[in-house]
Amino acid sequence: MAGMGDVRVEESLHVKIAEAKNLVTPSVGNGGRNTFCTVKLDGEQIYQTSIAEKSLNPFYGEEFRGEIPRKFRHLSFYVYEHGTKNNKVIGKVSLRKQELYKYHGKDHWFPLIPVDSDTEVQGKVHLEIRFGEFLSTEPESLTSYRMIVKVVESSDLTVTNGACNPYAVVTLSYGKSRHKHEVKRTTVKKKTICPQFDETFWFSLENRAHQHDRNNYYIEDMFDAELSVSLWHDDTRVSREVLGGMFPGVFLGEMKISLTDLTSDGVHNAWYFLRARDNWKNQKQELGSIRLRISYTSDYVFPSEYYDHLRNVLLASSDTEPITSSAAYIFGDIVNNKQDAAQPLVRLFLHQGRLVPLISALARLEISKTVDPNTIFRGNTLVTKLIDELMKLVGLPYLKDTLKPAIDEICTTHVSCEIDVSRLKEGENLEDNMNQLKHYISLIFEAITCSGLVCPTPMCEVFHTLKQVAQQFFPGNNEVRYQVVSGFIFLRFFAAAILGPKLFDLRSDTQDEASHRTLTLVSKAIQGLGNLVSTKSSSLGLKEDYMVPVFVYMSDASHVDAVRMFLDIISSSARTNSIGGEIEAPIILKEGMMRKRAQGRKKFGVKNFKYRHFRLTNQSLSYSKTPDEDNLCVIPIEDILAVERLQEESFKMKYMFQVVQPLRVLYVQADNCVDEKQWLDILNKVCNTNRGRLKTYHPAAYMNGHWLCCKSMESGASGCIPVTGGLPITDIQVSIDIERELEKIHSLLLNNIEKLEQMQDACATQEVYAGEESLDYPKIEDTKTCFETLSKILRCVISLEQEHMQYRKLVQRETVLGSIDTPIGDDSLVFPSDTKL
Amino acid sequence: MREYKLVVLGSGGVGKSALTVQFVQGIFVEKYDPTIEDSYRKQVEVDGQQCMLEILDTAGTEQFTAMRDLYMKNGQGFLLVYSITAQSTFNDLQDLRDQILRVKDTEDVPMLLVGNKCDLEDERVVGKDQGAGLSRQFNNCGFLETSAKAKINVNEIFRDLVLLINKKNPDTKNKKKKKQRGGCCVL
Repeated sequence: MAGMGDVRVEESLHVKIAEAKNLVTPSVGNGGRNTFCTVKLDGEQIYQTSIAEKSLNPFYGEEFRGEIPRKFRHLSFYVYEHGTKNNKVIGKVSLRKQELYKYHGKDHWFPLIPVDSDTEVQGKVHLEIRFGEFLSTEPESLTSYRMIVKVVESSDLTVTNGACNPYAVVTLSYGKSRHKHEVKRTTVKKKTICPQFDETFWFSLENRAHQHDRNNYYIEDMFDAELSVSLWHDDTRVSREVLGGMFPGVFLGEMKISLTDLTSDGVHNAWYFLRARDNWKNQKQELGSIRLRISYTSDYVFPSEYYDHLRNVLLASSDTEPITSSAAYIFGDIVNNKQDAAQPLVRLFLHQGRLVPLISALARLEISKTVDPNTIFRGNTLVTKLIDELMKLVGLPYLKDTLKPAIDEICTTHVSCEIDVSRLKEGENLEDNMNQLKHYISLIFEAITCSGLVCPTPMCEVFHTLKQVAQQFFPGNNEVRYQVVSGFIFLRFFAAAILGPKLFDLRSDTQDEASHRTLTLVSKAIQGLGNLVSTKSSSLGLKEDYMVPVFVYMSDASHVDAVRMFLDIISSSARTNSIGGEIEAPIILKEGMMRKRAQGRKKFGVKNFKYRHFRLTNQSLSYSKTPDEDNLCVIPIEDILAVERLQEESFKMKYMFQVVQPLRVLYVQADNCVDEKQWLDILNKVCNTNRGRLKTYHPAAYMNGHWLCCKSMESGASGCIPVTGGLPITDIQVSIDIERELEKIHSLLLNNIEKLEQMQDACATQEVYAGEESLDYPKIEDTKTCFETLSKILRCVISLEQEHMQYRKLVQRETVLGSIDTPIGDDSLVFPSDTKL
Repeated sequence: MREYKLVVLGSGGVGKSALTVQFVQGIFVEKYDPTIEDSYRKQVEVDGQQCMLEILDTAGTEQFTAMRDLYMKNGQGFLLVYSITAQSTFNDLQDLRDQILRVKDTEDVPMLLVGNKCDLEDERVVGKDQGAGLSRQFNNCGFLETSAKAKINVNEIFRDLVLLINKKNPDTKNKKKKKQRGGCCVL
C-alpha cells in the first residue's frame, strides 16, 4: 500500500476565455468599451488577455494552460474596462475548486458578480478558544465562567488597493436575538497579509445572565451566544483622518461560531476560513456574462510499479492482432474526446519507443476503411489525433525555429496584404498588397522547404510509416505519398500555426484584426502549397477568385519541386528500417560527377582517385561510371553516419569531404566550393536523424597507421572532434512524466468503466449469436481477443482504484480538521471532485 | 437587401467546399484540397425576397477550433455536414452542435443536418434513418441528404437554412421599407 509520501498530486488547468456579452461598464456614455479579462488563483493573477477593443460583447478567444504549483480554493475571472489612467473592474466569476469539475471541458456562460469586499474575501484565521471558571474577587459572588479567545494569526488576506494593514475584531453576541455585543479589537499590523497577532481577550459569560434579570441560571444559557472574529484592513488615511475613526476600514472576512458548538473543556485551537458577511446579499445586478471553458484536472500519481500492469497491457497494443482488440484502440474508442485519449497515449508510446508500430497499425486499420484516397486521414480519429499530439509534443521548437521570424515580421510590421477587392480599404493598392503578400509567402516558403533537415526524428519516422502504409493500400497512386504527409505537416501544423500563432506558442500576444487577416491569407496560401504537390487536375479558379493569382504564382515547377523534396526528406526511409520491404520508388535528390578515392578494404596499397557519377536519392548514395551504367557501389542512407569536410592536408586536395559508414569512409572530392557545400548540405539533411549518427568524427584521414588529426593508432578509434551541427536544436528530447500519463489513462478508463463492461457484454453476445448482427452495439472484429484485452484492462483499473481508495482513506485519517491545511468553515471534503467508483 | 451569414461546418473531407462551390459557382470540385477558411457571397431569391448570402466555408480539421468559436459567434445559420460514407464524420456532429448552442446560449439556432455524398450509395455506412434520427435529436432541425457531385439538394439546403433564419428572426424592418418603396413605384 502506498504511504503518504509516495503519492504526489499533479494539478493542471486549461482555460479558454472565449467572449463576454452585455457588459455593463462603470463609465457613463454609450458605445463600446475596451475590455480585458484576467485569471486569478485566489488573489494571485496568473493570466491576462489582450485588450478587446470597443465592444460590450467582446471576443477574447484566448487560451491559457499551466500546471498549478500550489494549493488554491478559488479560480476567478475578472473583466476590466481598460482606461488610459487606470483599469476599472466590471465584474467577476469566482468558482470554488471543488465545483470546477461540473464545468469540465465544456463551454459555459457565467454571470458576472460585483467585485466588493464581501466577494473578495479570502484567507483564514487561527484562534485558540478556551473556557474557564474563575473566582471573582467580589464578595458573595459565585464562580464565574469566562471565555478566553486568543487571536493567534491570520494568513492569505485580501490586498485592497495594493495595501493590507489588518486588525481583528472579536465580537461576542448574545441576548435573545443576539442583539447585544461585546467588542474587542487587536492592534493594527502594517503591510502584511499574514499578520501575527497573538492577542488574548477575555469575555465573561456570567455577567450577562445577571444583566438579563434572569433569576434562574442555566449553564446552557451561558453558551447561548455567538463568537465572531472579523478582519479589517485599516485604511489609515480614510478611517482616522477623514472620518475620525468612525469607519472601520475595509472588510476582509469573518468567521462565526456558536458557543454551543464548542465543548467547555479543553482548548479549541484551530484555523478557520474567512467568509463573507451574513447580511451580504448577491445583488441581482446585471453586469453581463462571460463564456469560459475550464478544464481542471488533479491526478494522484503513484510510484511507477503501481502502473506496471497497465503499462504492459497498453504497450502490447501494437503487437495485438487484430489492432481493434488492442488496449490502445479500445481506450481510444471508449473515450469521448479523442484528444484526451491521444495525449497520454502518445507520451507513453513515444517514451517507450513504441509509437511508430502503434501508429502504423492504427493507420493500416484506418486506411483499410478508406475507400477514396482523397479523404485519407482527413477525419478526427485516434490515429490523426495521435499524430497531432506528437507534432505538438516534439514539434514546437522546430516550428518556432522555422516560422517565428516570418510570423514576427507579419505581426509587427502591420502592412496590409488584402487582395480581396471587396475588402480593400481606401487608399490601398491591390498590386502593392499582392507584392507584400508574395513577400510573406516566399519568406515562409523558404523557411519551410529548407527546414527538412531539422524536422524532429519522431515526426519523420511517423511520416515515413504513413507514406509506406498509404502506398501499400493505393499502389497505383503516386500522389498519395505526398498527400498523407502534407495533410499533417501543412494542414495540421504549419497552416494551423500561421493562423493561430498564439496557440502554437509562436507569439505571446493576440493579433489585431488586420494582422489576423494577413495571417489568414498567408495560411491559405501555404496550405495551397501543400495542396499543390498532390494536384492531378488543377482546381484553380473554382474556389475564391481573388486567391487565384496567388496560387498561379506558387504553382510553378520550382515551388512544387521544393515542396516535394521537403516532403520526401521529412518522410525519408533512412530513419527507420522499412517495414515489409522497400515499396517506395527512390527520388533523386542530387546527382553529378565527383572524384572519389578507392574504398578498397586492403589496408595497404595505392588507393587511386577516379571520376564517378554520384547519385543521392532518399534511400541511398550510389555511384557508377556514367549515369546510365549500373551502380558500382550503393550506400544505404541509414549507413551514412556522418558527412563532414576533410582537412586539405590529408590528401593535399581541396573540396574533399568524407562519408562515414559503419566500417569504412568514402572520401569524395567535389568540383568547387559551391558544389561541395551543396553535397554536404543535402547529405546532412538526409542522414542527420539517422539512428547511428556519430557524435564525433576525425577531420583528417587515417593514413600510414594513424589518424592524421589526433594521431590515434587505432583505425576504429572514435572521432576526436564533434560533428558539425550535431543534433539540431529542434530535435530536443522532451521530458515525459510517465507515471502521470498512466494515471491519466487510468482515470479516463475508470470514468468509462461502464463502457468497458458493455463492450465485454457485447463480445459475449456476439459470440453466442454468431452471424446475427446486433443492432445496439457496433460489430466487434474479433470477440475472443477483444474480450481478453477488456478483462486485462478491467483487472488493472480495478486493482489500481483499490490502491486509490486505500490512499484516500489514509489521507482522511491523517487529516486534522482545523489544521492550517484544512481550516474549519468550508464544506469541501478532502477529495471533493473524486466521484470515482 | 437582407444579408445572411451562413457557416458550413463538419469534419474533414465530407465535402463542405464541394457543396459550397457547387452552390455558388455551379461547378463540382473534384479535388479534395483542405480548406483553411473561404468565404463567398451570392445573391439569391428566397420566398420572393432578394437575399445576399455570405457563406463561410470552414476547415474540418480540429486544429482550427479557436477560429470555429468566432464563426459560431458571427454566423446566423449553420449547415452541419457529414459524409454518408464515413461514420466518424457523423459522430463528430453532436459535439459541434453542442458547441454552437453553448456559444449562442440558446436552444434555438437555425441549423440543418446535411448527409453529403448520397450518390455513393455503394459506400454508404450511415443510413438515412440514422440521419433522420439525429435530426430529431437535434430539436427537429431540418435534414437532407445531398450530393455535390450529382447536384442533389444543394440549392435546397441553403434555401432551407435561409427560411429557418427568417422564421426565427422575421425581418420586419425590411418589409416596411419594401412597402414604402412599393408605394413609391406606384407613384
